[in-house]
Amino acid sequence: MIAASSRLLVAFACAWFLPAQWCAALASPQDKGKKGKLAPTEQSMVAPGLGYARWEQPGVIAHVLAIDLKQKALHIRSVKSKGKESLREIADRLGAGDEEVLGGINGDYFRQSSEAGLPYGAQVCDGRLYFAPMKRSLLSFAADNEPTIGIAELKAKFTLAGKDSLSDSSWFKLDDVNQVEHEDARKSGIYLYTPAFLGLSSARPKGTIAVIDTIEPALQVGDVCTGTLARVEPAGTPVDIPENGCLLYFFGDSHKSMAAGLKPGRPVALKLELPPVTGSVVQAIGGGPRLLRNGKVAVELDKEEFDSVYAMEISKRHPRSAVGFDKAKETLWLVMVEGRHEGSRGMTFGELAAFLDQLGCWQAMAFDCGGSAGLFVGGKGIVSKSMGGQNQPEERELANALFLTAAKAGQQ
Amino acid sequence: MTRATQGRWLLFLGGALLVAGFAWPELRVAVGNALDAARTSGAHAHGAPQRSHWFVLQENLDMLSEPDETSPAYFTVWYGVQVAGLAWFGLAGAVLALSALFSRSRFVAALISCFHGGALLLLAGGATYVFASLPPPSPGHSALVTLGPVVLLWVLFLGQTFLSFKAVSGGMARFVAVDVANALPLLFLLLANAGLWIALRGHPNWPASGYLVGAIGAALALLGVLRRGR
Repeated sequence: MIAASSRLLVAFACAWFLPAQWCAALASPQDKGKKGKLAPTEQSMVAPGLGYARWEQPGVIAHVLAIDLKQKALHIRSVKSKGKESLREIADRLGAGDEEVLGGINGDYFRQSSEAGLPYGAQVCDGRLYFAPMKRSLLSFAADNEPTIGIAELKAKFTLAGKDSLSDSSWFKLDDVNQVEHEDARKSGIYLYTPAFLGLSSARPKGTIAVIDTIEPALQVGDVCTGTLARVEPAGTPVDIPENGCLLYFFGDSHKSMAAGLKPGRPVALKLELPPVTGSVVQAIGGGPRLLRNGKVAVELDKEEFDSVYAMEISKRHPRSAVGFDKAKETLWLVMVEGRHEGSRGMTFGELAAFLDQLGCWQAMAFDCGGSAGLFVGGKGIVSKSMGGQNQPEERELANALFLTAAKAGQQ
Repeated sequence: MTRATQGRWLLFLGGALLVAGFAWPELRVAVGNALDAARTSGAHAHGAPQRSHWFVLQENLDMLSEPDETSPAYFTVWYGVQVAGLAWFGLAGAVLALSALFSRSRFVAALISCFHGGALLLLAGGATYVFASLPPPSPGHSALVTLGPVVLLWVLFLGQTFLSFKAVSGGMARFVAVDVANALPLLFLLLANAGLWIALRGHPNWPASGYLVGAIGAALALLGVLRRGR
């Protein structure tokens, strides 16, 4: 009776403050006819099409942003940190530009030792490939904000042919993008380095580096990108990656003859795809594991490339971040669960999947967890306690994040 | 002071330092708060550490008391192995310190042998189960990386069994019986603490200074064992 009354009260409050569809997106899971454990203790409208709710019960605090994907004024942006930045720093940087920052959540797992902030999975920002995928879940968005969660592969090739003779030119496979493995472990191949990698150090004694100053359209996924070879550098000297271009690194004996034919001024074309995602990919960000598949809890750690010991460690109760969307692909939920403090002990992947299921998600995946988990809400700032460790009480610096922005008033 | 007494004190101090090293982040907070309380009538400025042995122990106990239904069974065994391993890592120092009170009791040596041998058998058995349950390693990764610790644990267990037999039967008479039973764990604690301190110094998320304290403690305890040996 009390529960029914409180739901009625929430529904009544929603009717005053939020449009009907946001009541549905944010209301208690019980309202969706599913077995719910948590109830929202606070909810508000951040912007048209964007609602925030805080959920709390003894031992668990969760924050949810519900996004109307049909709301064209909302821009979903996969954002690469400059090197590594905290969620707040990224929000401040974005907010200093033309866009108003309405929300954001931490993104992919990343190599903490790298100053460049290198994520493990793929990242596409405004159609431009920053990093290649690994066998983990990837959240991608098409031009109309249509989301997809899946495991993508890199299909990348290049040719030393001009734009006019692409149809009959020979294409060569690119083996990887921004590979960071030690030189000794590197297999013979041709590697693409994007500006997000920052630069190649001098610790690369073998091979040849082709520098392309400008490539257009800039490393766009799904398009043929063309440019001109600016210069050829022997590996062993530090090379910065041009901001509007890229590097091709020819490594190993099998590519010596091709590297010998590289001359400044030669045309270069690249084609980058992320199958099975078809068409253009406007934004993409990695994470994993998948939590929900077709409306059913499916924690697919074993199907994704997580180191076995790491998989067991991240499966404990930790602070969590996750993303999911409904069957109609009309609502996207960004979820952050607090942990590692007295008020909230965090969730396991199974508990997180169940929570996303109760919210109404049809497909869902996790983002990086633990000290990386954080949620930014416009007008509120970082809503969660971010805790990285005794020596790192401040917010953790991240490699990337998913943000929601809108044009600032007067610039629409 | 005789060599035996010196050895006893060194062993006691070393064991106490091993325990202190295990709980070093919490001890620092407790001591800091106590000092602050004495100085500023009760103000507590030192926050509890977010990551430490104690924290991980709690994390694993939590997973054992409420396992995730979507996780395979070997995940739970892994959490149990971590609890056993951490408990042994922390308690071994206390056992060493208590050993200083006993000299030649074979009964105590047998009890200590049971403690170390039982812990190592539990760890080796659990680690073997987890290793056997793991999915095949992904391309580019070798199963040897995870097999290594399993083999090490079995080697430690077999070595401990051999030394336990020697301790109880009065073999290796140059050393005190309880010290023979403690010898292998003590060497392991010395190497593990020193290795972890070197590997984790400056780690952003894991306080490593306790391992230095532990390594110093293990070295002192080892010195104590050598001093009170014949």
